[in-house]
Amino acid sequence: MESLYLLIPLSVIAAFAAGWVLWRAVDGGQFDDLEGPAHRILMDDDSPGCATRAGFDPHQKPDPGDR
Amino acid sequence: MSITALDDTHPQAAPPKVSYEETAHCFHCGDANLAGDTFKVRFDGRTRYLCCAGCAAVAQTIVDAGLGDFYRLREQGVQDGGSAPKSLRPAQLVPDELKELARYDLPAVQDQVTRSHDGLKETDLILEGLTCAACAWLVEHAVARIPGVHGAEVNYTTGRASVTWDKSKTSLADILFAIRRVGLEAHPADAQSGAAARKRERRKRLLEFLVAGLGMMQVMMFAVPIYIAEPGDLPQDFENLMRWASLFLLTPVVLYSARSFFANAWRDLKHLRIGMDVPIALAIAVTFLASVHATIQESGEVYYDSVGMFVFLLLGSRYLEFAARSRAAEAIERLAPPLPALVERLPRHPTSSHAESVPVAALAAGDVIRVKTGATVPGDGVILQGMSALDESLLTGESRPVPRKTGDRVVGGSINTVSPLLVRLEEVGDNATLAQISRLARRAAGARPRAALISDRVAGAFAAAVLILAGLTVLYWYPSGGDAWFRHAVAVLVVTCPCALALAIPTAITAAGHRLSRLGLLAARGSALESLARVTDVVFDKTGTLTEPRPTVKRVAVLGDAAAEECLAAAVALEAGSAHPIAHALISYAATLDVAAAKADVISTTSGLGVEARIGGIRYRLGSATFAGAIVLKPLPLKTPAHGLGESHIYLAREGAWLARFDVQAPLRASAAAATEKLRDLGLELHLLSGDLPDAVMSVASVVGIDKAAAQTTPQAKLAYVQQLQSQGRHVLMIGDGINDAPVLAASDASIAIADGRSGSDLARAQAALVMLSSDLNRIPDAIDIARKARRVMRQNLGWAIAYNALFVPLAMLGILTPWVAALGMSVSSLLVVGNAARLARMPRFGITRNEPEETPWNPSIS
Repeated sequence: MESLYLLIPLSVIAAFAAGWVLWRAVDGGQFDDLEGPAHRILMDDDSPGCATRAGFDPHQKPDPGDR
Repeated sequence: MSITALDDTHPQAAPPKVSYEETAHCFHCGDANLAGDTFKVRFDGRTRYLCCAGCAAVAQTIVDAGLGDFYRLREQGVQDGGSAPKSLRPAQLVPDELKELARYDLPAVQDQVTRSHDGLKETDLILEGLTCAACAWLVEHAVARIPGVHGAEVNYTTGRASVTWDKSKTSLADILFAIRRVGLEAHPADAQSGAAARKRERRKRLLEFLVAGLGMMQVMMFAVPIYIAEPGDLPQDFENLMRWASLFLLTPVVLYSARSFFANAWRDLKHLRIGMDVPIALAIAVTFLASVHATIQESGEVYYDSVGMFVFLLLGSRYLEFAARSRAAEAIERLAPPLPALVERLPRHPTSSHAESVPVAALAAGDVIRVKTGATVPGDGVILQGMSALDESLLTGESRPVPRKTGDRVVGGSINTVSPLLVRLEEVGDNATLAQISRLARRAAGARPRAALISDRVAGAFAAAVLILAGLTVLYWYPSGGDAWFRHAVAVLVVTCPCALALAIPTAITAAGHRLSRLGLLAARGSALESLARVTDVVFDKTGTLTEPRPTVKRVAVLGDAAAEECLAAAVALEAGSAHPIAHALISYAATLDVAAAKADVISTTSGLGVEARIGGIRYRLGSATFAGAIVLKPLPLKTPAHGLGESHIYLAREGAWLARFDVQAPLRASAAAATEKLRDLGLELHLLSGDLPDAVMSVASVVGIDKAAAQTTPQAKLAYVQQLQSQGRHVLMIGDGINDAPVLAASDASIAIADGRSGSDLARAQAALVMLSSDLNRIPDAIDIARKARRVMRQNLGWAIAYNALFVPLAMLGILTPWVAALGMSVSSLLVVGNAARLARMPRFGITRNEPEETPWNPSIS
């Protein structure tokens, strides 16, 4: 049970650390576009041609309903 | 799947010589193909050429998947005379486009749309036609490859791109052109617009919400062991430690996340009114401070978990509300005119007729400008030279152009319809009539009857009741001594936590707003729904609202021996090159009948009366009966029928003979009669206010069955009419589209501006509570129905919140309420309220057509 004396303060520190990470993420714009990056990862290539070869699937369209 | 476009080893390599015609347009999208024979695909035994890798990939996929019929059917449809989709029209000539885009490089325009820092320029672009992630990717790469571009980032969610570029190496026009080449339209967003502010606000609210969520979860971890521990299981030391930990975790939640509640409550109190935020701030402050007190004293109850959850739920609902509102604001901003308007200024008039192109923003009083046919007059002034008819319908609602000659005054915002004019500007910008109407609108918006919104009324009563009950509790417990009075008073304040109450309204508004946006109606103001539900009177504007914005030819009556087609051919010849709405009607009518114009020469226009020209050496006249009759010298063979439904009669005659009469009319919108019928069924009183002539107004009014109609009303008169209705205790919904409607839109209790791509002005949109992107007037009764349903749900929610409080407050007053019961009761009541509101978003209803808003609607109304 004595471990709680250590664990409870630790959890508070962990929560504040998580808060700081959230702040960094929000401030860095990671939440500005929640849809694009999911598709971008499929086309992450430098030359436009190769990306289409790499498996761009025109049928896989995002749901436009909530835009 | 194989991509021919990039596969050099493909067996069916293209023939070495490729004719220009085959490569001129992209096989897939129809745009100009600037890539030559780089991208190709085999289809139906021929090599087809494409404009970009994206099109090549799509075309190859379609062909490989055996869906080639798509292209065959498409070509067939075009040959059958079916209207080709926009993308199939051959793209405009490239130099023209570049010239158009070069307007953005003018310094005065650049200041409006770009921000500068570190020698770099930054611009936000609004992208049209961004339908899939591949497009976003294409745009990003197309722009990033331009030398001089430092960064390009497309936000797929908002449909915007942010581009940073070096002014010395490239230009905005180049960037826009690059985007156009990959098949999308882009135009810069106004740097003054709210986009940047919205982004900051969104980040701020999101962080507040996330911090509250984090704190809430951790505090709950510490609260649950205390709740479930048997007495004696948990040493006092641990409990104290957990309380202190909770205090640490919750301090940022209260001081950071919840600070907007305190700020709003303080603002309300300073203005001596009680809004919803006052009881919320009170509950948070009292509950938190009481818990802190108990923590320091190491005795008494703590309610940290309640505070955390309370803040978390409220911020969550407010975040959703904000997200819905900013989506609507973004959609409305997209309607802004895509090109900056240019004017021809004559700096050395009258010594030289040298003209230079300047953006409207750069004009000053005293400038002499040339207003081309079809262009909008940029400010108030006097005609120095020329004679024309001006369409002032945006300002007055009068649909027929008014004749103006040298020496006459012209009003900014009117459209020159007949021939070019030389105008000396007297008032531009803030002093022009347009700006004055806009000021009138702003003043009217300030005087808008501040609806005593349900939430505010309830909040006031609620806050008062809570304070009285807390006082009673103190009075009851004080005699019994000790600190019981304090503990029980705090319990009352905690349990009456206005969570369910605070959630009752915003959740319903957000859910109903979602429904409205699916109908093509965007709520620009938060209170739009509540006021829409209370409406008792509906006031319509005529032109562009009940009727289509442009007239069409309804009937051709032959008066002489010439056939109707012959007459039409002559009429079109006379009207060729005129931008008059009636000319437009005749020309498009002739086009639908495949009638080609005859050859006319020596065309001369008599302003406001008609046109004269020679066809095959014979004089022809087109215009009013007197004007055309002057060369006939015979009475009309047919009796003139009564002017029906906003009709104009145009006569065609040649020397010595009447030829034909054209009945031109701005037709009623197809949905007008049905929509007004439905509105009456909802128990609403209908009015019609128009700046148009009495004949036209009365005939429209009689067809749609509105008996209260007023014609030739000025913006001021419209405003007075509505304010008089309001003084009789009526709640007015104004529906309009023009600049002349803006003051009324602003002053009405609720207002809908129509912006369906064919009508609608920026000013009207800016002043309306709701913007309708659809041209189907039936959406209006649907919207009122949704608003009334939303009001019902709000009332149910409020009823539930009050019932919950009525049940728990006596328990707290009697001192038999523990913190965990309070926390449980609060969460359950909040969830019930949210669940009830969520029904609104799904509630089925007969008659509602759930179409998506029609094609991207934008309309350069005053460009």
